[in-house]
Amino acid sequence: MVNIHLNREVEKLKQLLLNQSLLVEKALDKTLKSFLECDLDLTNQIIVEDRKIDFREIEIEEECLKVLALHQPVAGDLRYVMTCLKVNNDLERVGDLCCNIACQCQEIIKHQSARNGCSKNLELMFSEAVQILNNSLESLVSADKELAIQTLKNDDIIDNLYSKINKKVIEKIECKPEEVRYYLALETIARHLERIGDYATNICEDVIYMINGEICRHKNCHEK
Amino acid sequence: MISEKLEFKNNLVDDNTIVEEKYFHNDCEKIVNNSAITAADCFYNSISDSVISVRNLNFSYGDKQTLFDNHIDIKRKSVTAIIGPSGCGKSTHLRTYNRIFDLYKEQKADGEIIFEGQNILDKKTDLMALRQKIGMIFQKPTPFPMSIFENIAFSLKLHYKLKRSELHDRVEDALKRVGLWDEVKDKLKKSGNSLSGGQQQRLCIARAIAVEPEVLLMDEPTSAIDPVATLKIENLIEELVKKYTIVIVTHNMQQAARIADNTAFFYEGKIVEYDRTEKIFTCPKYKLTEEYITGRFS
Repeated sequence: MVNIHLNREVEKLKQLLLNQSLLVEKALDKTLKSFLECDLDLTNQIIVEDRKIDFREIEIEEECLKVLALHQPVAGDLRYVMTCLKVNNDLERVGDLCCNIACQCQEIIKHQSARNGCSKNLELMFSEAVQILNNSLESLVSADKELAIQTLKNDDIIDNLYSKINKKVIEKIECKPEEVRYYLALETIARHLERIGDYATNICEDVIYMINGEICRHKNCHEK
Repeated sequence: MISEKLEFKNNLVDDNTIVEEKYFHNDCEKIVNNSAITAADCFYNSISDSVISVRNLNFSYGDKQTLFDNHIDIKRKSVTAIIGPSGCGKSTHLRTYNRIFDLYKEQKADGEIIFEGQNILDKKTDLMALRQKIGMIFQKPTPFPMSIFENIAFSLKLHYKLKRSELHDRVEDALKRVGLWDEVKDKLKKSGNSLSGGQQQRLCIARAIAVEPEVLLMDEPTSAIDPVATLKIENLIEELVKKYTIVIVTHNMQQAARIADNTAFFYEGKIVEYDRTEKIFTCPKYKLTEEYITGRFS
């Protein structure tokens, strides 16, 4: 016999989280596009659409609290709801970061003429961030522990790219102090992308917890 | 694990209950035959101070065997919960600890239940002394048809020779320890049956602890009482465990999660999983346990 009430609620949560994942993935894709194509309208669209992500974050949190209060889930169900709560929070933060990146893109668009150097690495960092977020969410949706572990490793790539961009930006500011605003915008975008990588990593760690109950934060999970 | 679960779910959709039964049966067989003993051993090794050690316990009602090779260590001064679906042998297992099944000729247990260095299943066991040391509380409150005072004094008189004043002190002490004294001190001569269900159950607990047992067996002690009285009993269990070892059979899994240090999951007369309660309820080792505690079957 199946606990249909709890099952129904958990399925509903899964659907809500899936929708939120799609929204956040789309926001990051649009951010990349607005950066590459210097599309001012798209940056405004990202900022407006972030409200939808914020609204859904609250909706998911309320659903999780409802399931906890009314059904007192245990074992796999409990781990799923806990993962859902944490991933929900991370996704909302990724949404906010996309918003912040969009604002910085507007700054960059204003300084079009200065656009050179650094931006190649930033484009690479963008595509890595998109990839790591997609993979972390794929591991969540398909409950794929191996993919989660593999994705955790890729965060190092983003961290290395961030270090490179940071050094380059300092050099550039020293050479061309008049373009400091442009380079600061680039650095800020890189920092936000690095944070997005961290949130994707958090999601992978939560997926591992959801699957086998192992809390692997603050450990060297790459060897597992 | 999740993919296996999904596969299982799909199977259920395809081939409904036949697959379900086969799945549970196979899981249980596999656990009992192969890995459960190893897994359980790891946990048993961590129980350094056990008050009851059960080894290869089998039990039958006439020709029908209901317990199969039960193997469990009960930690001293802890609460151990026994959970499982109806008819899985929880109460039967509990009833072997103080040989209460001896009242019925057709019921037989074999194996070992070591308590204070003795196998209590030995024919030589002094049942009176055993039941003083291992008291039992039943599902339905069972006050004797006598006064509140006499309900407790009766068991004391059975085991000790006490002066009137000592007897009164011991009765008062037992009632205080179950938080009943203030509620009944002015009506000690009234019948035990005049109390509410929750009060009657606490009276039964007072009667059991008055004779200073080592272990208290509780067979669904709150299933016949309301939530407030249940809370009182649960709080009382938390107090009692400082002095006694408690083994409780419960159908209420939230209750097991709230009050038990360790939990054993029974299925078809076998101990499928035995571990710390937090482990059982957050990340059980076996799928069968997971399916039960998450309400996938009952």
